[in-house]
Amino acid sequence: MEEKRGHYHPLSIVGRDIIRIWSALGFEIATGPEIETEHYNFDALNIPDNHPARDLWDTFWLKSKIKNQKTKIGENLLLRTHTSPMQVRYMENNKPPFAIIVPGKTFRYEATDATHEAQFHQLEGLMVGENINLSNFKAIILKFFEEFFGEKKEIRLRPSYFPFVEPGVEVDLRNPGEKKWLEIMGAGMVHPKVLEDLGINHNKFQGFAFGMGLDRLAMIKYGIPDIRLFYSGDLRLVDQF
Amino acid sequence: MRISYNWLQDYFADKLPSPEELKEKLSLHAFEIESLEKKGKDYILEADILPNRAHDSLGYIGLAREAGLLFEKKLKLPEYKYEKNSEKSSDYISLDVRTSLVRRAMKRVVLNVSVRESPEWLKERLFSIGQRAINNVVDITNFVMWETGQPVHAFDFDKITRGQIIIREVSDAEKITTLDGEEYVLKKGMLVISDPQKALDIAGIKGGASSRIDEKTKNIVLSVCSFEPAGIRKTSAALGLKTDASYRFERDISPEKTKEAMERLSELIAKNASGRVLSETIDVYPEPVPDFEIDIEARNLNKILGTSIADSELEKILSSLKKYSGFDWQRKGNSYSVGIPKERLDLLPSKEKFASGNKEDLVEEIGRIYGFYKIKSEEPKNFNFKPKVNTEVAFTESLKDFLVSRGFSEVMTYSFTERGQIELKNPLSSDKKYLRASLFDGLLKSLELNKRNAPLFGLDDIKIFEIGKVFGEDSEDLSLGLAVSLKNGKENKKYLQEILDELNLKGEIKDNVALAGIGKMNAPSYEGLKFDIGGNNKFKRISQYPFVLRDISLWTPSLVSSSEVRKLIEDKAGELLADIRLFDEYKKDGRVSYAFKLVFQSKEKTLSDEEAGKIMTEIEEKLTENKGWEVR
Repeated sequence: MEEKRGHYHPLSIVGRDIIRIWSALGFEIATGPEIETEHYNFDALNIPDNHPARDLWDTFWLKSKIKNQKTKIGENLLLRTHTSPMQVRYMENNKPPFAIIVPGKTFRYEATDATHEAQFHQLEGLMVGENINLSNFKAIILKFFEEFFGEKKEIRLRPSYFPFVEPGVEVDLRNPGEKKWLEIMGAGMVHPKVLEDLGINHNKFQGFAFGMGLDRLAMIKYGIPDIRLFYSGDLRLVDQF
Repeated sequence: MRISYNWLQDYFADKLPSPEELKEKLSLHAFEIESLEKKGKDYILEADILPNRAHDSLGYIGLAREAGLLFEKKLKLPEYKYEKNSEKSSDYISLDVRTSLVRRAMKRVVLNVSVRESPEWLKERLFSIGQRAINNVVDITNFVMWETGQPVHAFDFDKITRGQIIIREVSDAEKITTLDGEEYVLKKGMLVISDPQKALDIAGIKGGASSRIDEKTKNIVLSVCSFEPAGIRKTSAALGLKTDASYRFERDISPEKTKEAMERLSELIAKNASGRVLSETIDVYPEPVPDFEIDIEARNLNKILGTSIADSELEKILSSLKKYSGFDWQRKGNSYSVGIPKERLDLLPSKEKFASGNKEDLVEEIGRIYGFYKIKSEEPKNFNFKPKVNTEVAFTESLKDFLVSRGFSEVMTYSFTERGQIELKNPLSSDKKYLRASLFDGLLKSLELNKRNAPLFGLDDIKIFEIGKVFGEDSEDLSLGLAVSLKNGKENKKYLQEILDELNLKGEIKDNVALAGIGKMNAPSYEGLKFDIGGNNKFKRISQYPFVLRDISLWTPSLVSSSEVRKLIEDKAGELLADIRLFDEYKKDGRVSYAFKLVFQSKEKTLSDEEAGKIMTEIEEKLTENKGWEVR
């Protein structure tokens, strides 16, 4: 008998959509390490040690440390709690203007249930230029959602807080005509301090950054009720797609 | 922060809008209101106050200012009217601050208090947000914290040795029993309020039992302090002791707030505990918060937000901020010089490594009052950037296409394992202590699971793959893992080798699993990738119950197609049929023989053999209603 086609994992299907849609929007795909230093994951993003903002990211720490090339001091290692460290890594090596997305695996030290997993996937976005503003963000992210869900969408921004953006916003999503909004992602304008520390003139360049959960996007799109299914290695999930 | 709607109303001369309107407006302009619940004659709103708004919004007065501004309602704030005794606090107590971790310390003596049950209104307020009532003095301190956002405390004056209060860092480990009777061992560097003999209080975190207010208490010391946040956070974490006070202090409460809190505390003690409040307050405040202004223009706002806010609109917002929240501003040419209220540490430069007090912080403050939801969509202009192809991603994606086309299905398993080379400091459980050094364990487990369910997929062979990071002592590499379980005489190992060869990958094969490092592999472009791989499928619930297998074979006249037979079976079997597969077909003597494998499974229960047998009988009867059909 002929060989039957196999199945993509739903997160890969979402990942492929991301490549297609964001490439068309002019974004470059960047990837980075899952083990990060405290510097990239926190300090460089204006989340210093002993600041309560650290509570927003429950963290897996590694027993081993890594020697910092410059200071020669052992630096704490962790599993990245978000894809945001790649903002810093990318900006260390590239000058604006640029537009990137960073899909990748992330980790949070938390008890698991149907909507929480210790490992999950995020999509980071970063666009910096001379006049990139929040209304540009709104236009671009709306295009992404409409393309991704294949239908008209409405979004709205409201205040939120992430130390590496200023202002920081939460993004709500809904279908036109619906009453209820769905909280879908965080975003904001890159904090001038983050740019400044990377030697980027923040009086000349500005831009937005955003982050969203890919597992959550897949759960919404395909009606998958439990995030843990993604990592069960179970074809009873994968075989359906 | 738990907000009682009725309590919040206390600070308004005007009637507040409905709880629903309050929820909507606060969420859109200030912070998220996570829930709204009716509780008796009151409503409780649960506000998610993030660290940037902890300085002003973890108390009812701050929340009232916010709501007042957003709804333009008239406020009615406490006026601190109470009688003061002419005696001096310093005739009774002394205050010696021996550490730089204290930003400000205020102490005041109240004589002849009457400790008793709190008045009803006070108990009601505290109950509404789930707090207990203890006695009038303790309840007032708790109330003042919730009202002002500034934690406060009261000591029994007569339990303080010689009235000498010392705020110091612990030098040698010492013990303290807190108000709840728990004993803690304090370590070097932790901050205590003490007398010459003993620690009275874990500063900023919890009061001690030794100076507790009880029904015999006659004279008290009111204590309102401000601390460096990092020290409180470290001590609270080290002791595993989180309190409403430590929660606030570690979020950085301005030393300017202590005065307001001391006034309110004094007023309520005078009125509700019939004490004689002494006129003098001892106040140690070495480094007052300096005045600070941020200059801003409408174009600064518009450049960041992409709005077209006019000067008149900006002035209107600044005036509201002045009226309700103590911002001061004046126009200087095209620019506005905005004086920042001293409690708004999110808008003032930080002494810590944390960046705040930028123009952008003020843009956020003004922008949120304007309403971020009013920002319109606008495409970027004059943005020139040529994205490069991520050749690693191009490779892994093309790899997925190849494997899926060859019948492999993709799985994802956990990065945490029982064994490996990289160990976590804080694993979730002992079987998740390490980061995986290879995909082997996860894939093998997945293979076993899926082999058991193979009939559900209509497959003899199970072929799976995973692409993911694996971790060595000094390495993090992308790896490809393939795992197969083949039937009908095919050799697993040989097949895996063929696939690796086809991919031009070197790998190792063990126990039906092939592993290959792909960290250095790349492909030049995304062209050629399949971009229509997702359907519009919705997930169907996976049954927790075992499935039952049955075969059926039959003869039909040669013109009958297999799909015709399949349809009849599917219609008769209904929802319980999880899968059906034709596995044999041949023609003989003008007839055709079909053999199907049927998988039955219920989403509600375990199917018994009898139930499966009954369905099979019904199917057989249905099929043999047709002339010339014969079930074998």
